[in-house]
Amino acid sequence: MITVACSSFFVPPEWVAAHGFRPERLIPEAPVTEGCVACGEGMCPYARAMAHAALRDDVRAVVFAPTCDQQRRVAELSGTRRQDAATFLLHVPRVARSENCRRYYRSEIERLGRFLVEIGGRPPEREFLIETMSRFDAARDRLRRAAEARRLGTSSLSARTLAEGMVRFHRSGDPEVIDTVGRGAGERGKAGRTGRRRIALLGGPLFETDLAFFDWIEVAGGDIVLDGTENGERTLAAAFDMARLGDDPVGELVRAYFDAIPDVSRRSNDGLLNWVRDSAAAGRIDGVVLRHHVWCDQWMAEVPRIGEVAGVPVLAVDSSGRPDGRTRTRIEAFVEMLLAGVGG
Amino acid sequence: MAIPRSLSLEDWDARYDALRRDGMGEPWYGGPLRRHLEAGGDTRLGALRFDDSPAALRLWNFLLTEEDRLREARAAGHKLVGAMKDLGTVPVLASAFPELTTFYVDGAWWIPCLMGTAIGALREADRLGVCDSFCPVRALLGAFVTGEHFPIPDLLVCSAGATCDDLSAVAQRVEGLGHPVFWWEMPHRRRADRGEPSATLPGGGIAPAEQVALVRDELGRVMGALCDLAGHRPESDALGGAIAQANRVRRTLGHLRTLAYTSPLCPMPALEMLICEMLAIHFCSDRGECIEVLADMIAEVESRVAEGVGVLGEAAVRVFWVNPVADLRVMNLLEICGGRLCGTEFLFSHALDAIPEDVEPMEALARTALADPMVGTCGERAERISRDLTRFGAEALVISRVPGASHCAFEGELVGREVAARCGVPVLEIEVPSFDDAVEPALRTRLEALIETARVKRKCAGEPRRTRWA
Ligand code: SF4
Ligand code: SF4
Repeated sequence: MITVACSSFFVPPEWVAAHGFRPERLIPEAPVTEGCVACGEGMCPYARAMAHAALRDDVRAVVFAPTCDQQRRVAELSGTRRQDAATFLLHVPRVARSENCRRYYRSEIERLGRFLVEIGGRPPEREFLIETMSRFDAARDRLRRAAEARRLGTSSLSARTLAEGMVRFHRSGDPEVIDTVGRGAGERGKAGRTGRRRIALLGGPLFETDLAFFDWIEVAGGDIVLDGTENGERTLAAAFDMARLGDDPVGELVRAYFDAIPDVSRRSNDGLLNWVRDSAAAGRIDGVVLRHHVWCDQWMAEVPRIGEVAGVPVLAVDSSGRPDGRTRTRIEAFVEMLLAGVGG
Repeated sequence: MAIPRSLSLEDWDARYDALRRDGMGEPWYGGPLRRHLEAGGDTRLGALRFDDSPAALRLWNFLLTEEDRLREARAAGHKLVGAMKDLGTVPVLASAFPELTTFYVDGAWWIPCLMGTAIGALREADRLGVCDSFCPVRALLGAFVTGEHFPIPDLLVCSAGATCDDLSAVAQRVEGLGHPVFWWEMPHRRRADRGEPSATLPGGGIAPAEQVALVRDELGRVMGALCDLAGHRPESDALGGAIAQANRVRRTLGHLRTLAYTSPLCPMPALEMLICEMLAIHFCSDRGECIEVLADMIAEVESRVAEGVGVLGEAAVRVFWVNPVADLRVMNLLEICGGRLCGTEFLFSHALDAIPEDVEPMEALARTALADPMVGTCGERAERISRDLTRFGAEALVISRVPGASHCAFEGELVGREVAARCGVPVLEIEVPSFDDAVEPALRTRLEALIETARVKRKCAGEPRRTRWA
């Protein structure tokens, strides 16, 4: 199947799939340090890695839905550098409570549909669209339930395995891949989680190499019971309303994505802060590790407010490259502090 | 006519006394420049060189008394609107209401330029976690805490969407401090798809009609918020009148820029031209006075041009400047190094273009807002810069990076490469930090090298620039 790569959680993969493509979320494996195409001083390492990832020639097109200025410029770079000129920029309105913006997002989704047809896709039959949306919805539901089971302590899945499962789901563009989440992984028994500190990992996108955080936190005596990073449960589209799905599938995409996903890029971003507050309370979180990339203004600026609303200690960890020893030491010290009951 | 001189702040003391003795009249906000340093804390003025004309004195005094004007407006019962980010549109909308006075709170960007970096506003921003990895606009956050640099507005309006991350993140924190922000959307400007209806924008760009409609509807929401603040709807022709007035400022400025940037001898220094251009954004909170200030500047420039006198030698290399500078001294430095300003793109070229008067006012403002160079691609920005650079006959391009700015990591290379290819001029990309003496020697060397390269090119072209006075 031909692949269309998507940069953001605001691009509904079911919409791409219903047009006959395999939707792959672009999740760079690691920061790019050599042969740099966007190496200006001040460039967010994730945006830079995205600039590289977007040049892959094994994808038919790249769909950007930038949630920051740097990604928007990476989309431009991709548009000028890709030989096939198959770059699509979907503008995701930042203003959260404007009916004009909702309408515009819908119109952008429809425009994306026309683009997909132009590059060889087929306009989806209504029934096929609904069926495809239902399959993705069911997969997300399973992921959400797996996350909830971890929070309740009724699952033996490790936080890292779940995070890897999420990445696999986003990357594969195949809802059935969920069946394999956790399979073959050496899981830790539920009993091994008692006495650990309950951690929320929040922030922007993670490189695959950043999954080391999950291990470090666990080894230090923490347990990530809430993954609010960009590839985690925070950015999963809301569950579809089956009654509305039949009436207006595109409208349901708007509701599940544009209306429902809490993100730092929204203005106002109180949706994100409310989500942090509610999730921290419901998950009985002891501490927050907030991971942001250097030069990421949006996440950096919100660190103090996230601390306020979460009501628990926050450790902000920035990074310009691969996770390093210094970061590990800080994380260990933070979890130790929580274990000792300090700062709570 | 006497040859214009470049004055330090000390020089201005004596010059001011002499002008007063000679009977120079001044508006209410007039006075010696030094008082802004002594009473106002604008310590960086002491490091600058100024034009010596009464017109320039009035310009500086007008600029540096904005806070007083705002406080007076409030005392006179005006409601204050604090606009953010759109640079040029919301003030026009608000000026349809006689009881509203608008200013840009992101004008706080300039606070470190005038007051240095050891100020409470930056300390507060640091304390709130907004450190110097952000551009100087972070001073805005601290200014809301200290309350020292502008009165807290009655309504805050900020565009979001295709904007820089710095201001967007800072404005969000301002809201978090308990100052509600009215957000409105500015989409990333895209090319119209094949067969899609589109509209021409001021400055020559094109945008899909759908995007213009979105911005018009969003501005309609802003208008609603302004009506709520004013307590009434604007008079039927008030918005058209506001646009006509704004266009008076823009045309006046356009005339001034053409004179200053195309005259054989440079008639007005770069620093004063930068200040004049800034007035276009929101008229420094007094539209009528702004027009008078610019009229004085034009009169001065016209008489210098007519008399064949300039502030620099005729060999000065004509330089086009991109992005505002976080240290105003760099505008002086350009001239010290042998350059002269011949064209600018300080991130608000859409505020200099006339607003269309042949379409319905909200549609006209939507098109103007969408013409913002920052909401489109670097490629389009480069296209516009190339056009203006050619129009003004510039021989070199300086792209000045703003420290910490989200767009600067990337655009310099793209814009520089594109303009160099289109116009064949040497390009220099520099970073200008907020007041850092340590970098001045390096900046000077790089500017001198650029000027030298442009001179060599000029010589190779075999055409010494002849002027009417040569
Ligand atoms: S981490 Fe921040 S700056 Fe980097 S791409 Fe994501 S939102 Fe943009
Ligand atoms: S300098 Fe750039 S980053 Fe800073 S406020 Fe202006 S446009 Fe935004």
